[in-house]
Amino acid sequence: MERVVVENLSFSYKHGFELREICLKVWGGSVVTLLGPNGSGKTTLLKCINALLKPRTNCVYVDGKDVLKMREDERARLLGCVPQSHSPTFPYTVLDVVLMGRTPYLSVFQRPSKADVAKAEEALKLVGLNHLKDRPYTEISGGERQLTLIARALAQDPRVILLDEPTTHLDFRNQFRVLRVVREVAKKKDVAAIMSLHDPNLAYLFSDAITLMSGGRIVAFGDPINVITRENIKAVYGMNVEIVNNERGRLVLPLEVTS
Amino acid sequence: MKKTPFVTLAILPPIVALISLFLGTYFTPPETVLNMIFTKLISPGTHSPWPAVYETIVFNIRLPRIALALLGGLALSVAGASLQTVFRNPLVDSYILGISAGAGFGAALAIAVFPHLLGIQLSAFAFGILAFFITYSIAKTRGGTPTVSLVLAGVIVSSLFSAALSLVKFFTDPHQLAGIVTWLMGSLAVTGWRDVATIAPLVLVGFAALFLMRWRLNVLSLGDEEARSLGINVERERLVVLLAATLIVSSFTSVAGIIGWVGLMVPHMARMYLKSPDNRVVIPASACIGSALLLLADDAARCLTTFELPVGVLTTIGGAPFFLFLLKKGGARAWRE
Repeated sequence: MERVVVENLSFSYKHGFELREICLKVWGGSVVTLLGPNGSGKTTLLKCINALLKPRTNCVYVDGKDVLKMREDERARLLGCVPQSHSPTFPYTVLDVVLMGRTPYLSVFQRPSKADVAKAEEALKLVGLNHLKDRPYTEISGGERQLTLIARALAQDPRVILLDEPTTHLDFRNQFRVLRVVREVAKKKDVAAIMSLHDPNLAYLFSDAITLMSGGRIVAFGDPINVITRENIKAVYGMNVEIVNNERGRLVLPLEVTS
Repeated sequence: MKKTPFVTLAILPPIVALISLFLGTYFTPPETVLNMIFTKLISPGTHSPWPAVYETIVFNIRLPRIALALLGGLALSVAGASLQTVFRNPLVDSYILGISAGAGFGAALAIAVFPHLLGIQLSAFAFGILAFFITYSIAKTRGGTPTVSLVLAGVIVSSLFSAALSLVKFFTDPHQLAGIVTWLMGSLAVTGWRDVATIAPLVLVGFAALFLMRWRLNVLSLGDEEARSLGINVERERLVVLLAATLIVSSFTSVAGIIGWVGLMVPHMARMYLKSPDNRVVIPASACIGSALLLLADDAARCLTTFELPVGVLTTIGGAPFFLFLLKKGGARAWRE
């Protein structure tokens, strides 16, 4: 059975931008990337799935359950969310940040137990950051911060994780580091991952399927090899590119760099 | 690692409280005071060999005043720590939501119109709470109550009540005006057991709520969207925090007037001392530091000169430079943008 089903999702902001009739299916253990230019609706779609924005109809199901109807804590046990990397006001330790992922399992007056700390440490190990657990979250690198947020989402024991542009602000190496972790943990924990990305080459390398978006609609969906094509890139980004394809890989090469 | 600093903090208020029992303009021999305390504790009924005036001073003047200072320091500091956290803003203090301006106006109005002690306290309390509800309803939009709107609404409500307060002052005769000015400076001087008994339940209920929710405060400090996606009903839980903070601050302010800086300063001191922003430890630490600090300030207020100084002025005079010192020492690391 599909892990996540989005059925005819429509949403409109007051200022006019709208998502129209978005349909999406994601299986457990797979990574689906939302790709598209700025303002194409990727972040809006992620927020709708996570109920931070309210679509016109209830149309998001995880394991067949309507997540928009749920209480916040019920939803947070199914959906883990990785926001764009940020610098928070308070210098909590890395472990404390990850521990906050256990909040949906606690009542209002409860504090995390030893078992919750163990869960948080396990999540940190999974992303390879256990050695940083006592460091202030504000004093680690951007890539490590992103990994910490992924660990926090994993500590929620979710069925799905949503990642909003997890590679923004990261250097070349860290972009790969973070996306590799996303793919590994999705497989290992049988979690469905839905993320938005800007770089077609990264999307191609790290996705099981790509959803190409433009102007609030889905333009193409499917295997990366079928979605990342010269025609699609031209249609969505208005750029002329060449797809370089050889035995070692496949690369989207812009043709208008100097013009 | 977290145990040792805590023991130090926990014994701080009792020690300061004990010392405070000996202090005052009326000299009471320390050994007699100790003797009296032990006799009271062990066999309260015994006939006392010391002058009755000692007993009145220690048990009916100093002790309730000490209790009020402890409660007030706790109230202002814990409210300050909670509000700084949910507003994610280091410059927020326990009066951010317009409580002090509301309470000030309420007290002034009562002093001008109906100068009876209980009336003044009730009016200050009611207007403090009212100011909060106005702030909250201004900030409330269809989608929720963003913290920025809350801060702005708090500023607007504060300045409205300040203007109303000026108007009351303008129309009040000089004798009553003096009363208003004194009230606004904040003082624990006219305390009796009745004041303590009135506000203690309110302060303790609000404190209990904030103390129990201290883990939630951490999560709320991440901002609305993140807290929500971590499973928190942000609107509801933040309202509970704001209500609890308003309750404890308004009830203390209603009997003591406006005492500034404690709510701003103490949470920072707690974070710097603990080297952690984690509210699981910052909230109890703020309670300990705050109560000891306000009590010390009040001791200074009643002992420094032959007459009473307003403790609110002392906390400001002492607080501002001390805070500056901490910041210069690098304490700003405990809170970075």
